[in-house]
Amino acid sequence: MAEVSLKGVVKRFGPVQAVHDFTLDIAHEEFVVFVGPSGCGKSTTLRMIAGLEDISGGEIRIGDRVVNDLPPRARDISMVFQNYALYPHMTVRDNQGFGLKIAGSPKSEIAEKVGRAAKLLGIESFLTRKPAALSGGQRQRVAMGRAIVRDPAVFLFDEPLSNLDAKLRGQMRTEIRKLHEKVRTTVIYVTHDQVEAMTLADRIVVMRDGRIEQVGTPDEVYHLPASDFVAGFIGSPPMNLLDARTVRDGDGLAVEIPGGPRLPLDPEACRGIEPGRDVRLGLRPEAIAPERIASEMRRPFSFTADITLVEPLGGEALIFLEIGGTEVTARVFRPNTRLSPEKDVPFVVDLGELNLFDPESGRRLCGTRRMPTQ
Amino acid sequence: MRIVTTAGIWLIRFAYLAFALFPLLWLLRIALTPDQLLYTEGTTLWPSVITFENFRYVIEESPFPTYFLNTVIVSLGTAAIVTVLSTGIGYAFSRFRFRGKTALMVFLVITQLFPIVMLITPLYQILAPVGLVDTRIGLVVVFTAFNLPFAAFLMHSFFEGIPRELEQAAMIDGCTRFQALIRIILPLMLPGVGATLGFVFTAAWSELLFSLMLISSEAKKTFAVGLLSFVGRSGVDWGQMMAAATLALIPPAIFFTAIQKYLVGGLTAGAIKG
Repeated sequence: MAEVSLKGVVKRFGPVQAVHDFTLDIAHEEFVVFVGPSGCGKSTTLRMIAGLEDISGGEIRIGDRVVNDLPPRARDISMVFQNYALYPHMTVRDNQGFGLKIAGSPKSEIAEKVGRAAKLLGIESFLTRKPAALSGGQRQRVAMGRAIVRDPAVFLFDEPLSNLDAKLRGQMRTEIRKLHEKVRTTVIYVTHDQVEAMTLADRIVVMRDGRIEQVGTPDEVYHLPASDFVAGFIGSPPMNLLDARTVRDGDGLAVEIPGGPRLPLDPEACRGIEPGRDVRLGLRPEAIAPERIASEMRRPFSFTADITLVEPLGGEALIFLEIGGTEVTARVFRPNTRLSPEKDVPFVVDLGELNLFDPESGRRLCGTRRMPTQ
Repeated sequence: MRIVTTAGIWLIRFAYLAFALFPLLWLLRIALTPDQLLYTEGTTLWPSVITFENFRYVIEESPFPTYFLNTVIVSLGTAAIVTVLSTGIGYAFSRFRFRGKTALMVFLVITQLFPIVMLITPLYQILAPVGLVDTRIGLVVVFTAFNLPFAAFLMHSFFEGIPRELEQAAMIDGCTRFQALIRIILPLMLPGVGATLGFVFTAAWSELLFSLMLISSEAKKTFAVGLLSFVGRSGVDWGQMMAAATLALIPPAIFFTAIQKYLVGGLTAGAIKG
């Protein structure tokens, strides 16, 4: 069993505080992804867990041991680096077996474990080569093999796919996920790529400026972002954010976009929000669609808007429209009619996909999406 | 077109080689020329008759073998000590953060700024009371002191060229920092170690000034000082001097042949992305 637990972990580099009060519990066999823009402290946090950086405060536990002062070798972890960090003077076989050799494992055991990992990753045919004779994708596999062979309690991945081209990255992403299904181990994975985060994670930790912005399942982070930062960071294209105001709407509450439609709010989800408050309205691109091609929505609401531009992408299309003077992106899947810029087009918006944020703090005030778990 | 380019490149290489090797050819030519032909044959590239008499004299009758042995001891000793020390210093400068690191590095540069001639008298004053004047150990100490700063910078830059992730990976794989250094970093540092060894060995091998000032007894002389003994009151014995110089070139040549494969870099290829 290898839970990882961080309590109030702090990292300072001289006067600069890189990580603030980081608290998180990671369950056994969980796949957790730290995501955020560069400089947000995600890699530093991972390196503190690995023991490659000292911590300036707080407590890190792996399993039932506090590892604050343990060297990396005593933490029962393995790590895959962004630049692979394969030992260039050793063959693939020796690279993979190095950890076991250092630990003094018998030769037969090393050979057996290296062979098993090589088979799992499909690298048996180049065990005798040196890293220089391998392609980027092969090196990445060898780096993962080296991590698996030691059978650690926790796997750490530091942006392992960022040096690969887009196609290979997609393939390797799938392989990492499959690998986790086969080798059930706790995984902590750092990336700046939100697609990787969404596809791989059991839980995503979104970080910003050394702080946790949100922890949640990919669905939670996507549909109910804790802040406008998360809303803008997760999803491509990102969530549309519009300046708006809450108004009384009969018995209930609505949000009004200046120069645009007035959208009724789910009274239950947005309980406690007073009318007359400035807010930022968050709308995912797929929550908006031209009425004539809209697919099924939970709570459709009609309004009209002008289409300014259409970007067909094959299986989907991005439609740019104007609501109250702000450009908004809509995404429709498999559009079967040809779309083009035109005026006064009937649109629908899904009222079950609204998020309201505080314009000052950026924190979410309410979200109308009902999550299956809620 | 390609043939012309290739031919041009080879021509330039050949011209460079001829220019660089000409002094060596001249050294050998004079060493092999019988004394009586030295001035009569003028500047022909190769003498009409060759003789090994100069070499025989230098090896059998002059004290040159002693000088030679002294130089080997002093140069190898200096090269080994400087390389070991500069490896440690370069590693510390490259991998550790510590108070006063920048000041220390600047200080090392400053030591390189003084003209060496200025230091001879004070150095003599320092070495004399501790009995290190006119000893080979004294020479090793002095050469080490003067070569260490540059060698440390050289090693530092080689360490900087090795990705930190490699030793971090090793430390996660179960190594201590020292094990990571010995098993992962040093094998990749062989070009750096080779370059430093070569640089220091050559510098110590051909050093004249300190040897001249600090060594007085015949038994401790290095060959650079010894070469001067061929300059007599009645004139210079060119043939013997060149024969001695030719012999003195052999050890550095062997040394560089031995380490040349480490001097050619590229060992770290494939360590990281690419």
